[in-house]
This record gives sequence, structure tokens and C-alpha cells, in this order.
Amino acid sequence: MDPFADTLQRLREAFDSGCTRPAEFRAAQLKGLSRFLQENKQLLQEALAQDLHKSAFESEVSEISISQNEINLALRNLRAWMKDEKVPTNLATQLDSAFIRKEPFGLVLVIAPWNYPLNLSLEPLVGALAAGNCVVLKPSEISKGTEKVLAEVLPRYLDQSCFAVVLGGPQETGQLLEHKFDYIFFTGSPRVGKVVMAAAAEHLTPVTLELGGKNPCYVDDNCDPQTVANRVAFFRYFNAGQTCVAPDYILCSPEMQARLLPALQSAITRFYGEDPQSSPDLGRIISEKNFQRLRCLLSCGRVAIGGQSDESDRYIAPTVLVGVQETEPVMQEEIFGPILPIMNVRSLDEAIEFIRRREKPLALYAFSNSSQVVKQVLAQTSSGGFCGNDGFMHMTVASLPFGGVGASGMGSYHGKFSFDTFSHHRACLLRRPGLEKVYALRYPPHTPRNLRVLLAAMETRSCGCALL
Amino acid sequence: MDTISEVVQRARAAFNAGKTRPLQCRVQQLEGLRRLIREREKDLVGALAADLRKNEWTAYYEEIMYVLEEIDYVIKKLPEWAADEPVEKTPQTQQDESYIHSEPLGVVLIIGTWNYPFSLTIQPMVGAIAAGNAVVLKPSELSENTASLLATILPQYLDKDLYPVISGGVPETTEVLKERFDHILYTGSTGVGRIVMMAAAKHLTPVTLGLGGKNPCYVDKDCDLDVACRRIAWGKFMNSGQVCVAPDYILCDPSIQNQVVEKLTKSLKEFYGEDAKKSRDYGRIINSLHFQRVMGLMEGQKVAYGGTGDATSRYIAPTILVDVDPQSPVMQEEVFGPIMPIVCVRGLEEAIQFISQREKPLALYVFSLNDKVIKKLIAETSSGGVTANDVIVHSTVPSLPYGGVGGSGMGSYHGKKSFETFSHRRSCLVRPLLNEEALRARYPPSPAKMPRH
Repeated sequence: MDPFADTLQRLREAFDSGCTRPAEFRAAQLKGLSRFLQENKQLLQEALAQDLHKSAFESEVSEISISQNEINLALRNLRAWMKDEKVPTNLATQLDSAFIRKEPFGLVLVIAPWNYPLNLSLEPLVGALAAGNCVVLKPSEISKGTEKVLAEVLPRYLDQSCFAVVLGGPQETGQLLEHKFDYIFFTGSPRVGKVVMAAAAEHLTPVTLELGGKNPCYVDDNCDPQTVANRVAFFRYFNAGQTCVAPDYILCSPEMQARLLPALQSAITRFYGEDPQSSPDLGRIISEKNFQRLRCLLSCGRVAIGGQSDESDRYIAPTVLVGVQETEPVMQEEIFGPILPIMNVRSLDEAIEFIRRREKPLALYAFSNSSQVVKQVLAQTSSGGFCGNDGFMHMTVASLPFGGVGASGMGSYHGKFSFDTFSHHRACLLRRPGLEKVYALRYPPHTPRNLRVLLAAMETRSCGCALL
Repeated sequence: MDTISEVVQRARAAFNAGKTRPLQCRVQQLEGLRRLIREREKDLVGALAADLRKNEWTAYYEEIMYVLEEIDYVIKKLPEWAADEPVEKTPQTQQDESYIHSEPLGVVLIIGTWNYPFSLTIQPMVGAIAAGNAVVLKPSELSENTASLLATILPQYLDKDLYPVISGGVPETTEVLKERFDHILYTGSTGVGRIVMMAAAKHLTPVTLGLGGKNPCYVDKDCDLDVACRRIAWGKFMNSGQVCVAPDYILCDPSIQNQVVEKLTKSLKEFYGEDAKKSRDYGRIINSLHFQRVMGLMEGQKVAYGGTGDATSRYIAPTILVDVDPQSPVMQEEVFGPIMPIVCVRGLEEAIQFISQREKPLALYVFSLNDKVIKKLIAETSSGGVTANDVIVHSTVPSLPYGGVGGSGMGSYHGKKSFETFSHRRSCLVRPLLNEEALRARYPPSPAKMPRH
């Protein structure tokens, strides 16, 4: 029994009919998305609170507003993005019209994760719809509250001949991936990313994979510990640490560590109060399984701050670990929780070497008063994105592409990059039938004279001139 | 003799040592390539002649010229492309530096192919070098003379550790695909394209796949048939039809089929004489396997011109088939040989339907004096690229990305697109470690009342 065949067939037929091509249709879909957000804000906040204990504030800034901004940006720029992009011609083609036509791929699959279940479903969806594709959305089954809203409410706001939500766990997703899509956009772990890419390879389907990694956070001796602590703590414990671009671990000198610890404690207390478990601003771990995984990590190194947990609430306190060995589990996997290990290094070079030995992360952070230090970290490492002196603010700039490199992913999106990701860039050259004499040189028989002309042109680098 | 694994590790070590970071070093390597071409021209032409019976003209015009143009263009533009690209700021990041920083990916694998064994291996390599990568080259063993020449001369002009050449056939390609790369560019068949992407998935390696397909060529009733047929004949029969962007088959109205045949035939005689076998400018099929395959496609077909072949010299005459049945073998696979099937369709709508029902091709061609026809055909189909009123040439414009879609491939290169394909474009935001007061509003505890938007 193939539960997806009919849905996919329907969407393909709709795409083939051409209904998604006009800008009006796409704009209508985007406006539908916008209304979905506006009319269901409370419902969504409740779902996010249910799934991850997200505060109204976090829901607003990191899920709802951010999605709304993407929709607004796409609506404002849709026609401009859709326009043919004229390109410069060379000497040989100066009489021709050369441009890049942006076309939808066709049937797009978006597989979304559980940590920002609204935003990470809607943002790719915005790009796919704006680019004129028909879309299948597979939200995460782990964030059940949001999954329900996306499955039951969202489709009412979109043209359902061109959009469908499909549900299921790993088994159903595997079945879904046996089908042919024209593009697959996946956000999740590197392990599953490999499975998705292998499935895509069967059908030669291009992919964007937004994966993860351990995002290093280098803290130089030359900085104000409290400022750094505020910024690192905010971005580390946001969404209870369940953010793909959160600073995963700190690299600093023992001296800096001694100054950072009280500063981190101060920040944590200011943010979440004396009893973080009762703060409405601290999230919870998504599932029992992840809670257990994280609880084990609490026994790595030594707990310097926090360390408490409550299984009945899936609560883990904002925690800082010190004295951690590189071989311990907390340094072997992406933490994805409110635990911040501090690793000591004796110099900037050692920190850079530590980072380079490991997989390229999705994000990389460097804190220093010295812009030279910041630039050096940037120049001698690689990562999806980089922020100097703050956490994942770079993600909020729509004119910056958001994506990974190496094990942290391939491809990127946000803003215009979303539109371009979900479009095929078709190279077009329109020539006139006239001026045949101009092209005559290219036809056989190739006389020695013609060869001499060609070689002379190559010498003077005017190869393109009148030969094509 | 080093194992493939050792060769790749050495390239990685050389990359990690930072040799390719300074632009000047990359330019030096590109200049080395340019010198290679100048100084070893004769050897290159000889190898291409031995592999595909290319003569001096075709070697220069169809291969060498493009690589030289690419090298020149890339050297000139490199400082611009490699520079940090500032981007538009948001209200919250007005005081910050925000830009895209281009970085090399690391070690790139380029798997070449046999029909343009020099340009299809070296042209992408130019982009990969410019972007600062180490490049492992695996030329196609089918064009054995060019492969063997590249293995010999490249180390003489380029850094041996950074740009090694792997020789061999399927076993060696399988071996090299087990290694981890930071990007793989493959040109070749759909079947092998799948294998490459599968292997890449194990390491989460991004890929660019230049595959094939059947490139349709729609000839409208309203067009200058003389010019159209001359251009089509030129693009179809060059390199004996072994061109990934060659027009694969013609779609036209039955009322003009005879004229099309007549004019194609006229051009063919002008190009290659009465007996193309005697023409210096006419190529040969790469090997016996492909010779048999292409000859087989003619079986049971109505031959309007040509139709003969000689197994010893792997010569196949320029051949035109008429009234071809869309179900027949010649319409089921990429011809990749000097056979031009003509399939009759009545009108543009039928042509569009015919094309849309099939796999997206690498290229699409349309000949018409009517702009509306051209616009409609482009709008209602998809393909890697398009040329209207000519063939091939869209793939020669450096500012146009060259690549496929769907079954014809993914990703693209040429010119700046190569640089982007082989780079990681890293988003950077650099803030001052000041103004902490201004950022306090974002920290918890969140306000009791949510601000209105």
C-alpha cells in the first residue's frame, strides 16, 4: 500500500497544468501563509509551548515573526526575483540576447525538524512556493503539537491541489523518499542527511541539506567576560539549547574560564532567576529520549554551573561543564541541549588547530575586542556561517545565505537565496537567423587559412570574435 | 607506486598546509596551465586525433580555445570574485560588518569524460583551482591517449601534490569514489551519475553532475530553413555527433520534412563532401562498443541520407532518418552519434507536449522567425539551457551557467559559476563587543506584555 502515490500524482498533475507559474498564483499562496500566521497565532503559540515549553517571546521572535518576515520579503520581491536575469554577452554573442530564466523544479519535498517546527517548515515553504513549485511538507512527528496545526490548519490557507502535508515517522519518511521528487530540502541530523541524499541519488534529485555539528565558540583573553557571558548564555540556552546554530562549546584559556564562570552564572540567574525551572523563558527538552541522552552528558567533566534535571518535566538546568576531555561523549556529538562545556586552550593557534581537526560546523563564533583576532579565526577555519562577538545573529540577516558546509550541510536559503535554491537557472541564448556570414568561419571544410585566422585570433585573445 | 588513497591524502595535506589560499599562488597554477597548452599544443592535438580523429581545427576550436578563454577570464576576474561581498544590512545590524566570504571547499574530484577529453576535464579544473581547491583529476580511460598525456604533462606544469591525475578505468574510479572529497564534478551518463551521487552521499559531498539526455530541436514552419539546417547540421555532426549539447532529434511538421532533409543534406555535402569518410574534418566513433550501439539505432528505420558505417575505422556516415516512430530504440536513448532522427509533429502544441512528456534534456533548440513561438516553447518546457535559432552556443557564453536539470544533471559551472560551485560562500557578521546596553532588550526575562508588531 502506497499512501503517498495519489497525493504526489495529484500535485504533479497540478504542476504540469502550469497553474503555479503566474506570479498572482504564487503571491496568493504567500498571502495565504501570512494569514495562516496571523489568524492562528495563539494556536501556534500553544502548540509550541506544548512541544518545547517555548515562551511567548521565543515563539514570537524565533518562529512567528521570522517566518512572517520571510513571507513579506518574498511578497515584496517576487516579481523582481522572477524576472529573467540578463547577463553580459561576449564578443561572439554580442548581437544575441543572453539571460538566465528562473524556473520551478516541479514537485518539491520539504522535511522539517522538531526544534523550530514552525519556522523550519515555513521558511523553506516560502521559497519553494515563491519559486512556483508544488510542495509536499513532511513536518516532524516529534513536535506533535505543531505537527497537528500544520497538518490540519495550514492546508486550508493554501491551494491544496499544489500543496500537501504528509505525516509519519522514519518508516513513512523512508517510503516517501522512494518516490521521485524534483527537489528535496531537508533539515535535520547529518546521519539522516546521508539517508536522504542516498535516496535522492536514485532519482538524481538535487538536495539542500541543513544539518548540524558542534559549533565552536572561541573566547579570547582580550574581552569583557560579562558581555561575552551574556551573549553566549543567551544563544546557548535559547530553546533549551535545541538550536542547530547554538554555540556548542567554548574554547578559552584557563584564566578566561575563571573569569567567565561567575559571569555566566550571573547571566543565567538574571535571565532565568534563582530557580530556572520556574522561569517561563526556559524551554524543555523535546522528548524523553533526548532528555535521557542529555542527562548522561551531565556526568562528563565536572558541573560548574547548573546540572539539575527533572525527568517528569523534561527539564535540564542551564549547565556549564568544565574539566572535559575531548574523548568524552559531550565533545563527541552535537549537544543540542542546555549544556555548555568549556575546553581549555593555551593560545589562539591551539584553538584554531582544535577547530580545524574537527568536522566543519554549521556556525562558528569568536569573541574578542581585537578585530584582528576575530578575523584570524575567520580566515583560518571554515564553517557554514560565522559571527564575531555575538551568537547566531547572522541568521537574521536575510541577505546572508544560511547553510552548512562539509558535514554541516550543502546548499543554503533565506531571502532571495531561498527563491534561487528552489529554482532551476536555465541558460538562454536567443539568436537571430540572419548574419550567417558572421558565423561562416565555423563551418567545415576547415581550410588551412581558416585555421591560421583562428590561431591568430587566439593569440590576440579575441577568440570569440566572429567565430561563433 | 602510490595508492589512490595516498594520492588523495597527499592532496588534502597540501591543501591543509594553505598552499592554495593566496590568490597569487592560484594564478601561478593557472598560468602554468596556460603554458602547458602553449608548449604542448602539438601533443594535445595528436592525442585528440588519436582518440577521436579530431584535426587541428576541431582540437583548437572545440576544446583548446575554450580552456584558454576560461583561464584568461578567470585570472582577470579572480580578485573580484574572491573579495568579500558586503550585503544589505538589517535595522538590527546597522553597526556591524555583514558580508559573504568565499572560501575553497578543500579537495575537489573531477571525473572527466571522453568526447571532449581535454576541455571537459580541464575547464572545470580551472574554476576549481581559481576557487583555491586541490583538485584530483580522473580523466576518462576511453579517450586513452588524452588521459595518458594529461597524466604525463600535468605534473610537469602544475603542483604535483595539489593536482594529481589518477589513471585507470572503472576499478580505479570505484576506488577513488570511496575517498572523501569536498565536491565532486562528474560528466557522463545518467547511470554512472547515480553511482557518483550515491558514493558522495556517504560523505555528504556536494556534487555537480553534467549528464545527458535527448536534446530536442524544434523546427518551425515559419523559419529560414537554409540557415536553420546549416546550423543544425554543424552542431549535430561535429565530433561525429558525440556532443552532449548536440541537437539529438528534430521535431517538425510533416509538410516540411522533405525540405529539412534536402537542406540538411546540402549542408552536409558542403561540409564533408560526397563521402564524409574522406573528409579531414569528420570524426570517428570513440570505440567499437559505441560504434555497434549507434549502428544498431538505424535498424528498421527509414534512411533518407547516409546509413552506412565501417567498423574497422569506426566511421559512421552522417545519417538522417525520417518518419521516426517515437517508440523506436533511436528515440529511447541519447543518440550520441551522427544519426539525426526526424519525428513529425503537427504544430507547436504537439511539439511542446512531446518534449514535456520526456526527461528534461540538457539543451533545447528552437528555430523560428516568430518570437512568440520561441517564447512559448521556452515557457512551456524545461531544459538545462536553450539556444534559439542556433545550436550549441549557449554553452559557450562564460556568463551563462552550464548545467542540466532533472535527468540531465544538477549544478552548473563555467566562468563565475565555476568559482561559486567550487567555493563555500560563508555568511559573516562581525559585531563590536560593545553596546551591550542596546542589546539588553533581547535577554530574558521576557516582558510581561508582548510588544505589538
